[in-house]
Amino acid sequence: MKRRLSIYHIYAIPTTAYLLLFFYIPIITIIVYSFWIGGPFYEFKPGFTLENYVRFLTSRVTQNVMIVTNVVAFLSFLATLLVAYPIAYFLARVLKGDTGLRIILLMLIPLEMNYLIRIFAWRNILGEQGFINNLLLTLGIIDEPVRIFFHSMYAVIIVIVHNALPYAVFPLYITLRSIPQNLYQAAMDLGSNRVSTFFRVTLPLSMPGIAVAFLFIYVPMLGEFAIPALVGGKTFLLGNLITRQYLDVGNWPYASAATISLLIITLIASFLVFKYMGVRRLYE
Amino acid sequence: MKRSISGQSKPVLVVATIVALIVGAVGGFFVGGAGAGVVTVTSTIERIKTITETVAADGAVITMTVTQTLTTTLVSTVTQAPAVEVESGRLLLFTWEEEATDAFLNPFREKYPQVQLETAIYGDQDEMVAKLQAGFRADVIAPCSDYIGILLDLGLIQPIDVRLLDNWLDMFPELWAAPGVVVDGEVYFIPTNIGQEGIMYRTDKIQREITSWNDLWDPEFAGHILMPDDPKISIAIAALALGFKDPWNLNEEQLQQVKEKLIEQKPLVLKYSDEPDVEAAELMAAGDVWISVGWIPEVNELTSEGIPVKYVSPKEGEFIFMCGNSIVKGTQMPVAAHKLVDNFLAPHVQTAFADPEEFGYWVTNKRVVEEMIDPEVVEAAGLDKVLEVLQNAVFEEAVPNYDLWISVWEEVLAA
Repeated sequence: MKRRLSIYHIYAIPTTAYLLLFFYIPIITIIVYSFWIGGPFYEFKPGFTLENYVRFLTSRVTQNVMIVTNVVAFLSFLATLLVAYPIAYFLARVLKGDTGLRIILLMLIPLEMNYLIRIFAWRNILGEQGFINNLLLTLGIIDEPVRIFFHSMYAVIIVIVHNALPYAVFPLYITLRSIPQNLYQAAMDLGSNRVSTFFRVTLPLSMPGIAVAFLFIYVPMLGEFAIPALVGGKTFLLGNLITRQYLDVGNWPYASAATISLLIITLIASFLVFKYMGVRRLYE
Repeated sequence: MKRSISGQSKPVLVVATIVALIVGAVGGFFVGGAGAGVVTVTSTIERIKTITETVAADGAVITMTVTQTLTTTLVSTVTQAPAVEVESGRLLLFTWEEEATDAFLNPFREKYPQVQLETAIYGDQDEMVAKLQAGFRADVIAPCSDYIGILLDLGLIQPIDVRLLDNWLDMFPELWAAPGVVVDGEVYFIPTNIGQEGIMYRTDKIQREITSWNDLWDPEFAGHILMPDDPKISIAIAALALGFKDPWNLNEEQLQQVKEKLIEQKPLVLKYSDEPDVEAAELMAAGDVWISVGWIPEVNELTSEGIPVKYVSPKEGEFIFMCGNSIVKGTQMPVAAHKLVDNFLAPHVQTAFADPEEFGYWVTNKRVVEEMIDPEVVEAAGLDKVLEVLQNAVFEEAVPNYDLWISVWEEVLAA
């Protein structure tokens, strides 16, 4: 059967044009650049070479940075999950009616504030003479300022957890809400206690929510550069490596090859998560 | 870096060739041949050194000769300048935050009301190059001498016609031979300020005397040291700390040692900062950083906020930067751009640059130094000794094997 164009297809024009102009064309440009002949200080020329990819994927710097980035991303994801799961559980299964949803809307308010301003705010909270240290000193819990809160990997994780919390709570809330009540009754009837119900019913059935949270937190972390640059001290992640190559070194072909490699890695990871963690169930 | 000249007929070339000949006669570092157009501009600091040494040996006579000859030549050229009008329209100045002030720019706005002067800011020169290269349209930029070669290679700047600069004749004529100013017989860069880059530290947190770049490796300051995230300066600091005499020319073995030295320092470092001028001041005020690479304007600013900081010039040598202005290639407002460049050589800017409580820089306008600044200040700050400063310092230069430097630095960051 032949598909005919109808008048309603006009509605697709703005979106398509927008995506084409600001998404597909830039991505294609980056792909083209990644095969150019690279060199520092903008001395790159058109051409075709795989050298940028080979260099990026084989360099010791990339390997070190990949390890650190994945460790930070995984710890951030884990920490966010540990904070978000109880919140989502409380909102979805303890509160009645729409109250949970309203609270989630409240959680979204901080996201209205500019991303960079939020990170800058953390600089005042985490510093050696910042809010946390002052509080702990006043309460007499510590004798001298603790230094791990600022300019460290821990500071990066703290800020990410704060940023990512709503993105984890929301999908978890939805999956936890969608678990039918009668499954719990069945588990109880069959002699399961609360703990084993959680591990054998709730947790497996909330896997899709965890998977979505993973996509929302882990994947952007692989390209994150602002948080490590502002609160991370010496923390040097993949995003920082790419930013350096674009803005400081001026080797766009190399930076583009790194970007595309990262894109491919995250696409594969996302595909695997979608395929094997039952994300489909969320919208079916 | 060596550049040879191609035949050009602009008056600037004639002037530059004469400069080259005079300097050549004095120091022997220039090889000049006016007719054939064979002029080789050789390494920079050496030239200035030679002039100063000769001046020191023979007294004022040679200085007089150099200055007089230049002035005569230039005066005759300037009188032949064509009458040109300053265009009306939008003019964009792309510069450092500290130079985009009303105090600097309002006199220009009042003088040329037909020009709508706008400003944009960059944090370091790499950023400036990146934005221009990505198509950002500016008319005048404020580079430092070490980036002129890069800007030229990328075709981002155009020659400056000195006949359009009213204050050009007042500049220390010896600075003509300074790096970046004359390249291939054309003037590309007008230096307006010369500053120091050394160490600054909190005197309340650090009791002992700071004297050396090696103090940035002191385990006592662990977690309170700030280094710039800048391959050029960080590697040069390590090179000086290791005792290498010429930090801009390092062979592979020396770079290996530098890398080990920097990795050894890494556990002590709080942060490698992308914008060290802004961030070092901020973190020093907050008490997180005790010792850092530093500059006099930042120390002045912190002192005025009541924070006890001190600037020291390390015994291995401090870095000297010379910054000024260039005109971006293809500007639609060439005359206005020239007048804006000239604005930074004018007394109202030059006196502010020279003010020890403000910028504390050496300035390049000789007449301002001799006639408009308190002689005591001139004496105390050595404003009349610009050439000696350039001679003794580790002048910031372009690095020949910079791609190696970049990968060494990346390995340090990722270590």
